[in-house]
Parts: sequence; C-alpha cells; structure tokens
Amino acid sequence: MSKKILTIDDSKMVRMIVTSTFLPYDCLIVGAADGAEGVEVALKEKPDIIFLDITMPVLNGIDTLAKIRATPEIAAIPVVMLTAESDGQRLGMADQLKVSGYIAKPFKGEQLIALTKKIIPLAPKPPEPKKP
Amino acid sequence: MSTADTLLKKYQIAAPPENVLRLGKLVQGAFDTNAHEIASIVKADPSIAARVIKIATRGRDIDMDIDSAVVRIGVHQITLVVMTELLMHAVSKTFATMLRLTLEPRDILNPYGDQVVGCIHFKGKATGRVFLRIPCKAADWMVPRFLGKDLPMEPAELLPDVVGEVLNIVGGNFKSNLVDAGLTCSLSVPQVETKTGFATGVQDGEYHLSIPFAAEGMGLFLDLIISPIAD
Repeated sequence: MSKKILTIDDSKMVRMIVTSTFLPYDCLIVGAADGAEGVEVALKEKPDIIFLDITMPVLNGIDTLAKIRATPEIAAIPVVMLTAESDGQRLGMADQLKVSGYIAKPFKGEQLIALTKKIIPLAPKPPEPKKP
Repeated sequence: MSTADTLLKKYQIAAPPENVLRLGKLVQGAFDTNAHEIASIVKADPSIAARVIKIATRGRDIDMDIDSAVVRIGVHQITLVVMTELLMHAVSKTFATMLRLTLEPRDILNPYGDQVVGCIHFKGKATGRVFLRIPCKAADWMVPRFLGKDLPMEPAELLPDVVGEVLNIVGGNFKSNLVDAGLTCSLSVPQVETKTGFATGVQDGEYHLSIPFAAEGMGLFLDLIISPIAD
C-alpha cells in the first residue's frame, strides 16, 4: 500500500530533494513551506511519516512538533527532524517531544531511505501499466 | 557520558568538531584565559596555528612563534580564527555531502564576474553574518549536482535557491557549533541576490575574514563578519 510522506521545509530545494529521493518507492510526497501550513496539511493528509525542518518562518520546527503532539488526530504520526541545527539544546527539545529520528543536514538521500525503512515499510514503486 | 553525548549517540549524529571545544575554552573563560593557555589551544590545530601566524605577520615572510603571534593579535582575533575554521568545516562538509565536491582553500582568488551572494545573520551571545558568494557561471555544474539532472527549469534560475539552501545548511551547522561552545544565538533566514560588485559593509569594531575556495576551476568566497564578543 502506498505510503504518504509529508516534508515540512521552507526550502523548495529540500522538498525537491526529498521528493526525488523517494521516487523509486511506492510513495506520495506532500509538502508544506512552514510549520503552520505543515500542521494543516498533516491534518488533511494524515501522512505515514513527517520530515520536519527547524528554522522556518511562521512556526519553527520545534513549535510545530509540539503542536503535532498536542493534536490528537496527528499526535501519533512518526516525525523525523531534518535540520542543519543539531546542537545539544535542539536535540534535547526534539527528544522530549518524542521524535522518531533526527537527520542532520547536510544529508544524503540514502540516510532518508534507511531511517524511513526503520520506521515504516517502504515498497518499490509498481511498474507503470502498459498503454494499449 | 553527558546528556548531549547520549542524544548524539541515540540519533546517530556525528559529534561536533574538536574546534567547538577550543572555542568553548576561549569564550567560557570570559577571555580571562592566559596567553600560555591560548597558545596551547592554537597549537593543537595546525590549521588554526597557520592562520594565526599569517594574521600576526600580515602574510609577510617573517619568523614568528605561536606564543608571540598570540600576544600580537589577541584573544578576540583568535576567537574569530577558530570560528572561521568551524565555518570552513561546515562549508566543506556541505559541499562534500550535498554536491559531492571537494573544496580547495586558496590564498588569493579574484572574484569571477557576476555572482549570487547569500547572506545569513546570527544574533545573540555571538552576533555577525556570513556571506557565501558563488559565480553565476557555476549554475551549470552546481545546480545539477545539488538537485539531480532532471531539473524543472534552467540551472541559472535555480542557482539563487541552491545558494540559499547551501548557506542555510552551513549557517545552521555553524550556529549549532556556536551554541555548543556556549554562544547561544539565533539564525536568520538567508537573503540571496545576484550582483556584480560586493561590499561587506563591515562596521567599525567588527572583525572580518574572507576565505576563498576553488571548485570546478571557479572561485567561491566565504566571508565571516562578527562583532566583538562581550567579555
């Protein structure tokens, strides 16, 4: 069954990299450009996993994570931090909010895949049906 | 094992560079660290030692030992040198991981025509800004290396976004290093523009170091400008 992945990052570049990384897998990637939009999209789409940046306008990643955990409909969704900020303070805050993983930027696509596979099952994308 | 070390291990994140500890020693002693201790911090990293000598001799071919160089340039300038090393580490790591490129530090490079200039500010116990300058002509190799070959638009149109994200990653790493060294600060969103000339806008009292790199035969520049850290 196709998995839905939400990437919340103000960088269009990172959203593009996440999308291309999961191209070989049976996944649907949805995106949001800030934390507030990310919570809205999460409520609407109910993704299987969320990749979350920290430094973003409107609502930063830590506040977004707190909001996700405080919203019953989406509180149990696994969240992986995908951020350039990996100092002790940030790690401690994310850990208290029960993140499922933490990937420090710069990152490689293989890291995303490997960590995702530890959290949710990923199947290869089925072949495109042949056109008659 | 400290809480931070436990979390780094739990999430399989690489430990911060050793220069974070050195920076912490310099600033957490509220600059009371004596010259002998500072010299031992400088001597522990050949790259820092070389840069300190270069600044103290103003690049001239003069014999000077580390102890004399430390006394000549002072702890604030040495702190900037250690920060610069952290910044260079962050930019090298980002280029190696996201663009599969090894940056080569250079002594002198001329700017390369029109360039995309990104700027990110940090503010708090350490306050300053970092500029990353990339020639517009780098779009053809830099953008596909960052995003892959299937691009939704021309590389030149995507270069500012790529420079912004590279700077965002470099700035985030650098800011984390500062925080781990005890210099709590916040980071701005990167601002990016395309321009022909470049002026740092260095104010009186600010320290400025410019670091040229070469990649794919082109010159890239990283500039760190920082206000004096309060004693």
